[in-house]
Amino acid sequence: MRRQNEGKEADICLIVEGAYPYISGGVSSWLHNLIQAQDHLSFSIISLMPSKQQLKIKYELPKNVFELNNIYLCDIKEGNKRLNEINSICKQLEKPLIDLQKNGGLFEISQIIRILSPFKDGLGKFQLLNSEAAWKLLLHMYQSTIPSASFLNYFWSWRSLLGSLYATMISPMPRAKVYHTISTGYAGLFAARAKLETGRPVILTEHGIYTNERRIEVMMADWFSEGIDEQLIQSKNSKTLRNVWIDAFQSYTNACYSACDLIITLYQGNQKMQLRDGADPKKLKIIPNGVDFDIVRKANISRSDTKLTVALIGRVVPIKDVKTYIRACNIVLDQYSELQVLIIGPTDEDPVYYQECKNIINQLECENKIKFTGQVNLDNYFNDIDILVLTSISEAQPLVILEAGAVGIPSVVTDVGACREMILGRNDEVPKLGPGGVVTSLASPISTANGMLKLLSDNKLRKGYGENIRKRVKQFYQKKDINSSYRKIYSEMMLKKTNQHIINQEYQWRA
Amino acid sequence: MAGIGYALEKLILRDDLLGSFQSYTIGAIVSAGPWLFTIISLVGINLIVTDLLSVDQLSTFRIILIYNYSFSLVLSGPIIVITTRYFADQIYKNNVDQTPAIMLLALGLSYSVGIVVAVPFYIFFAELPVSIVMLAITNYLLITSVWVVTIFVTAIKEYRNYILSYAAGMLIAFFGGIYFFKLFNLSGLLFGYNLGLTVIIFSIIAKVLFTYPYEIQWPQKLIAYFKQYWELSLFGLFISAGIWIDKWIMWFSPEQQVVADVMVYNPDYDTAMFLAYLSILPSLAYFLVSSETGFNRRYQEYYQSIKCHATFSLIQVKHRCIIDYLIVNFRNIFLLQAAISLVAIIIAPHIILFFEGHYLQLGMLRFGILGAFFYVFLLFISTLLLYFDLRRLNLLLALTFLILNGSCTYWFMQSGYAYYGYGFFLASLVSFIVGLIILSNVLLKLPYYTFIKNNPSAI
Repeated sequence: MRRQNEGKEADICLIVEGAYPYISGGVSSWLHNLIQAQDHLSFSIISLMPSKQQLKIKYELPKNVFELNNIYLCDIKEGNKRLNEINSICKQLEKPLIDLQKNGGLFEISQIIRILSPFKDGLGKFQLLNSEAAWKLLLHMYQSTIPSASFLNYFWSWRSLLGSLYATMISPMPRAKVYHTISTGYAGLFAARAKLETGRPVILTEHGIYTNERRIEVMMADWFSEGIDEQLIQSKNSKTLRNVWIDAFQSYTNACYSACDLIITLYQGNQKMQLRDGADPKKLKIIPNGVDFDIVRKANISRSDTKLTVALIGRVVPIKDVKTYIRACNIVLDQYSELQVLIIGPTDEDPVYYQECKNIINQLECENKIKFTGQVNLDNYFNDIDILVLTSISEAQPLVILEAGAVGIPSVVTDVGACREMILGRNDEVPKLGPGGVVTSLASPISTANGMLKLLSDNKLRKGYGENIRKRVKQFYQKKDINSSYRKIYSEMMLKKTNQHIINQEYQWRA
Repeated sequence: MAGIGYALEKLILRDDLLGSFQSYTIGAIVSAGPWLFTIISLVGINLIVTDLLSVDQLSTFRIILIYNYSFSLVLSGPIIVITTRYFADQIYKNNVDQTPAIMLLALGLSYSVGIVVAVPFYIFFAELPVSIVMLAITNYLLITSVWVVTIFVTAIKEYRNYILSYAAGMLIAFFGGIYFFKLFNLSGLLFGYNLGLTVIIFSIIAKVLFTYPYEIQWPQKLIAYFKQYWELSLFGLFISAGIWIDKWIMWFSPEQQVVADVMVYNPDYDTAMFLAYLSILPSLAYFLVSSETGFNRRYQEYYQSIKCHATFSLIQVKHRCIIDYLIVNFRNIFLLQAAISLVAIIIAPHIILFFEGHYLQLGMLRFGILGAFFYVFLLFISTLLLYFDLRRLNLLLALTFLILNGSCTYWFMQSGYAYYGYGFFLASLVSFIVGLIILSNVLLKLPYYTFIKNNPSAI
């Protein structure tokens, strides 16, 4: 399904990279809910995807979405073959592009927009990537940044980075009252462009920290080091290709943060990284994810108190570190042999890992006590669970803690993502509601086991913690409250006046 | 969140950029080899068998050979070029299992074309005795086979053995021809000549089958290559047609002679031209050797440096090496060839006397020598363009020569006997200049061509 309604102004333009509506996952479901919850507003969506190939819409677009446009980062349009200005365009682009590969930001983006926008319709792959002028530009950029790096790798990196940048810069800009990007990166660049070209307010909601994810990705990719003695280069304290990539993404993020009126994230841990990456503290705001408190509660009126039960709820995959959970449970089972241990979640995503988990259970001889349920309806299980356990080595803001918390189940969770602040409360929580569980170290069966033992051994403490988390969910993590936060932000932003200075391109002189 | 880490690794590790390099490292012999062979064969006939034959016999024998050399080279041109490309790609991929099958398929393809064209021609159109018809058809197929099997010579780098095979074959062809001529007249001559060709072909086929003792695996993609590399297919056709078109046109000049009712030719022009081509033999040989050794090494080093993640300054050094080498060698060949051509032009009257021609051929011979001088450089340029896999430019160059040689020859044919050969000379000169402009433009911008223009994943 593709809707287009040219010329009509949307209330909100959502800018999404590599997710909604083509890829399902946490961010996409969140967006889908957001659009549905704001059904009084009209939305247009810009979806940035690698290429045209194999795009299948995974969500039925809500009725208030009237436009969906795609930007293909790796498939920039061909462009007009006769464009005599390309030599001067490439010459002018050189400085802002080189700066953008060092430590640039909105100023460089504004210059690039100014250079490209008069020729937006004719420009494309043919001139920007494949012309002789572009080749000269590539050589100059290489010589001035990392002349001692593999040219082959630089060549492909350059094409990839600039191809995506150009695609973002020359694609049509839909009209909207407010632009809302769901990440920095190229989506953030598009948002920055929206700010510069329309003067309308721009909001950013970061779920994961884009720069951080790219940084990890770049550091993990081993093709960078091919044919190069990296240690040698690093000891000379010069730049490597990895730096070029990381610095480019950092520059994109700078541009996006500078352009945004409001920078939202899910929890404090992320906010620290945003500050480190140069976000203005005055623009920062936390809006967590929430759960439907009333519906969850209704499903769990009667709690049975027959047999103590602990459960890990999540996919059986390495990132959830189910093995640590199994080992921790083995320790706990020594003292509480009647304990029921559950692993609730799909087991088919990583069959090898699932088999490894089963092997450990067999070795520990607790096949009868630790049970995989597979994918089930959680409502039926919440009645029985006394303690929720999470041993993940990476999480953003796992909603299951809140869903369990809404029915008064305390959790034992590793100290990742937003887990600590959900369990112990944010620093600025008033009044302090007290702990809703235990926070443990990563990949430590003993630490997790101790947490479980602490709650199992003291019924009163467990119930008290359960009550604490229930109150916290009710007060801070209700979906309806979070929806109204966005409703309020949107209506405030929509009323803001258009920033004429920016449209008049005064920005570039200010920097 | 799904980021943009998508296909970067795939992009960087993909081989398209370098896939085409090394493909034409065996290109030189394919462009220079058959021409070398044609000249030696056709001039050899004049030299060796002329005295034995009556005028009629000589014309019949010579015209059969000229027709067969000419049309087999043109008609199998696309097959030769495409098979060379396919075979080179297989070698590059270290996939030699298909070699016997490639050879057989290429032979089969050329035979099919030959059977469609040569068989009806000799049977239905030419007025020749049955035995001559049979031997002429056989001769066509054998010459075609020589073109095809030569492709595989370069893969097995034992040049000395091959030169021996060719030399032995040619000796058998001529002296066997003379021997059997004494027994069976013209049929015997053709039979002996065919015998010599058979020796060449089978010694090479045997060597190929011995070197690659693999089962026959149908090389499926070879057929697809004709379409995929359509520029190469057409190039193969145009480059061979280009060097024959002036003769074809001159066959219809007022001096034409007709053999067997339909086989027209122009003995004065043809002989003069073949003699003229004799002057470029040293350059052809020199080029074959230097491209196989010195140039090839620098070419490999250039691509290897890219593949092994060199810095751009190192790539530039390797690029410079290629240019320097070519400049020095072009200058060497140019001087060598200029000296030879100059001497040949001066002693042209003696050459004509030696080959028992007549003085009216003098102008044609001199224009021919000048034309051949530029043609040999055209051939080098075209081979280099093959090395760099610039298929369109090469096609353009071959087409330029074909059209120019055709139109100029036709134009100057109208101007009379004194201008015969001038068309070929002018066409070679202009095409050479066009080629030189194309080549120097490409060479100076070689990295741009390597990374962008000629890179299927960039364009």
